[in-house]
Amino acid sequence: MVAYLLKRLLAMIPTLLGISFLTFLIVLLSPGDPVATQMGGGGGGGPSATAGGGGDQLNNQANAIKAKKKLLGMLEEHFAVVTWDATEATKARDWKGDDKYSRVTEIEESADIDDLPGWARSLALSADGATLYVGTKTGEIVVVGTSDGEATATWDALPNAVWALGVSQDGATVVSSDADGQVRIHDAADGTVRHAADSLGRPVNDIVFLPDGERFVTACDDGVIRVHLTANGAIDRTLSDHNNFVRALALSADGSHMWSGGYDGDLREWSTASWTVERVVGEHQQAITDIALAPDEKRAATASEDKVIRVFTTGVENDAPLVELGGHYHEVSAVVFHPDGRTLFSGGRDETVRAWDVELARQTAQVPQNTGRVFGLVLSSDGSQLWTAAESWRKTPIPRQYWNWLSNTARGDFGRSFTDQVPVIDKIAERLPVTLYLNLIAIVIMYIVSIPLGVAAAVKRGTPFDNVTSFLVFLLWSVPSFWMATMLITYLSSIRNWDAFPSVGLHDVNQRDMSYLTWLGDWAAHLVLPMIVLTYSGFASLSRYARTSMLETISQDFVRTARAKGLSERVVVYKHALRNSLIAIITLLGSLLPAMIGGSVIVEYIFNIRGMGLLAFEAILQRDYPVIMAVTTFSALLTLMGVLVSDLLYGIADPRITHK
Amino acid sequence: MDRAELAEMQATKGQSYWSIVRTQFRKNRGGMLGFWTIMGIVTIALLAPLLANDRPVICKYKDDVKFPAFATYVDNWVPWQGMRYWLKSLEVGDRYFPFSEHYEDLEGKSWKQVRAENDPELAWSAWPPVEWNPKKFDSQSIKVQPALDGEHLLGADDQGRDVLARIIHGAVVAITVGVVAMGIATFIGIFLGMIAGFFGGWIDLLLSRFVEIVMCFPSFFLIIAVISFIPPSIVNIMLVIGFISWTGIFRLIRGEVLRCRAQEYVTAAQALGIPSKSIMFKHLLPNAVAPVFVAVAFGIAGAVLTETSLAFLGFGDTSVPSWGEIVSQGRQYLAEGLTHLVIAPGIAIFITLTAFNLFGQGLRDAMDPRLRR
Repeated sequence: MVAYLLKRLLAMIPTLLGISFLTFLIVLLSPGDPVATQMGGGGGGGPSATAGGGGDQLNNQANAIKAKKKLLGMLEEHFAVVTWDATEATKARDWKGDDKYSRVTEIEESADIDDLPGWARSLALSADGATLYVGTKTGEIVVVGTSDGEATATWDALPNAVWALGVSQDGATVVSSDADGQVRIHDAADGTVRHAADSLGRPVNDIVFLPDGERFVTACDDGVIRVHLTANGAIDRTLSDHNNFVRALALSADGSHMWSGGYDGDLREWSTASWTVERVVGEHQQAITDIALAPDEKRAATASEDKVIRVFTTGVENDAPLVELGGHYHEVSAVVFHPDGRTLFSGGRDETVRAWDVELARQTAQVPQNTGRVFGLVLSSDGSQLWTAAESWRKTPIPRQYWNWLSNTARGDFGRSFTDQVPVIDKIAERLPVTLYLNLIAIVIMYIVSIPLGVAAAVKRGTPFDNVTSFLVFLLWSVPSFWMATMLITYLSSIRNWDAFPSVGLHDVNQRDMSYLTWLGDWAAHLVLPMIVLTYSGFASLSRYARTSMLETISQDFVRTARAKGLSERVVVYKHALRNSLIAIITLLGSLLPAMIGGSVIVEYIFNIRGMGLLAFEAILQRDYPVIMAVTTFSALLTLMGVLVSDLLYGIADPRITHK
Repeated sequence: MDRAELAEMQATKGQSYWSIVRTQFRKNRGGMLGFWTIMGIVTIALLAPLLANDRPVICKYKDDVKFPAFATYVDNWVPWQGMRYWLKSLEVGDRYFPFSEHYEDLEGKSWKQVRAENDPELAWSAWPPVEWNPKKFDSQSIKVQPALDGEHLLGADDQGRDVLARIIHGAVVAITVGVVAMGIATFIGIFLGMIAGFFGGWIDLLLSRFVEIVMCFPSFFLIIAVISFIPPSIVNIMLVIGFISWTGIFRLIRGEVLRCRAQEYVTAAQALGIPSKSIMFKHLLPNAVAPVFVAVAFGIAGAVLTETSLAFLGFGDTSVPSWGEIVSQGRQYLAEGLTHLVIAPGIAIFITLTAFNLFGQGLRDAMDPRLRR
């Protein structure tokens, strides 16, 4: 028996795999993007956001879709410096078609720099353009050769995220800073820390080297710009003109001028000879997050938290921006000029990277939707590649999606519900027992009522009793359960007619105040109507099967022998024939269970019983995919169990069937 | 001996299997009742636009004989919206739109208004027995109770639509869903069952295993789960029900084919070098298909039940009058005593299900040689 059970359970493994695969397919292969379907059609075909809710609503919707995809495991973290083809993007402005002024081409992805230990947080390119330094969120600095995109070295440099990186002009020194404000000077050859300054306590946001390589400038969140000596990291000079954090620095090629920007929204132009502010441009509504200089240094572009990119003329006392480029729907965090002096790339918190044309003053290209929040952008020195440091996400390959779903399922982890973030397995654990005990009681009642009914009909074959019960039971079979339930509520549970039984839930609202006996009575009263609905249609099939199999058994030889022996009719029927006719009825259990579990949706919906059927109903209304997948899986598992139990009962009813 | 002679010989020598079944079935009173009820429902469904409509079936208006009610056939029988629009804009002759809802000649009035005004242009007209359109909202008759002498025989719903008209047009939905869904299921079931049974081996193993897995899912669960991903149009509902309920037929056919395959005529056919395709569909199929008819009869009842249940739960297509949807509407107004909204469509569903079940049972009894009388 145990060996048989084990064998059966082992044989179930492929079936279980199939079940999980089918459940996975339902979500995956449904026409259209499941998550998008939920967002668009969730309101039952109401006006969708695309109809005219404006860009922000659309974008919020895109973000919500992305968040749900992450929850479903359709997107996974992509630890890489995503690389884009910048040349194509600059060509976008030459488009000659009719939609010349509105066309936005898609920027294509080229080979990414993959397999970083964490998300890239900061980037720095050496002056010769041969080496890219990538600072990660986990504190490593990865040295990448730009020609082949292969990482040549990884320095475990900092205890937390690398906030900013700077490379000296001669390429011998790399300066890094972390979220804690600790500035470290590395030897570019092997990454050894030559000098580590004391922590400033606030993040250092940007680092630029003066052309002589003897000094570098840092911008810190405490609002101070510091000039350090490369040799020993000592602070040569502090500039406290900004009144709150400084986010960005830019230096002209000859090192004579420096631009800085930060929280106060003023772009300051410094003379590095005297370290004095020569000009303040205050056009920004919120903090400046990045500054980019055009190759000819006649123009400077700023990225700002107010979602706008502004291009200014440098050195002239004209504060008004040349161009204002709006399109990002969240903070713009990085901006960089293409060597051609016209194209501007920007990236932001809205998880997009966009290309703009300064002369046309419009957006010309954009990356497809699957990047994450952008921290930094760097162009290769020939302007062909654009590297992004971002919290990138990418589409999980489907086999891995399935593997994740399978392994999580095996561990009992069905994810979290979209609606209230509760683990799905907790919801199932709360609802499954209710459905299970309801259906078990119903099955017991069904068997208790219909077997004697069928046996009696078979014994009294052809009498009015047989005809009437067969006919009534047959009629009951064709009554739809939702209609039966509605009629029962109308006539047995309404004030208008007869309020005999309660019809909502399984217990009274104040069940806690009841004594045990009253509680039991209340429970039984609540059960009456759901039980009628759950059982009546089963009477038909079960009693019919009982009748036919009893008829077959009665006509067999051993029954005639028993009668010939002079046994009483009672003993013949109930002791000899019944047990033999039971087998056919027991096998029905396997097919009964799926129907009953499926039917529980209707019963629980009508009587408001918080079981698994109602959970499925609610989950489907709310398009709560993790719950739908879990409920479907569990219902299939229950059916499997039911089949197994009926096979075991088989052996008990008929000792000739041995399970080996 | 050519085919015609052979057929003649068979006809004279004795009864064929199907003629025996037919004779047996005729003796089964329940089965015959079911059969004629089904015929009645199908007739109602086919004639629905002429039985319940808010425009005359035939009339003479402005010296022209017109058939305004026939335009509703487009609404009832064309499932694709684009095609409906195209048909409605179809112009025949001079400014005559046979499928359009509106006649320009009526100048914005409805046919009923024309009749009420005793418009002399309307020489004569023959009206459907139920003078209501199932889809027309009518603020005048919201939640009207049934009255034998009133305008609405079975009352009206919360939006003023006539319940009897909706039930009559609901027959179209029920019958189409039942027949189309089971048609799909039968086709898939027979096709895959034949392949699995005939070829055996790993094809059989794979298909049988797959069917086993699909059968593990409570089909109603699976159906509502799938319906939730796709737009709930009536066509989609039919497709989903069809694509999920073929497993029973697959098992029947596979079993029958396995049984017939071992018989001599198949071996003979194979020895003659007849291609597998012909053996399967010309020789095996006619011998294996009999039990499928019973399963299809019960399956249609099951499909109708599934569709009405879906509509009751609110997962149905609200643009068509489904019986289940009427019940679920009525459920909201039970406290107001609008029981007719629940009882009338419920009886319609009950009659349909009983008819198909009776028919299926009669067929099964007629095919069972042990019950032959």
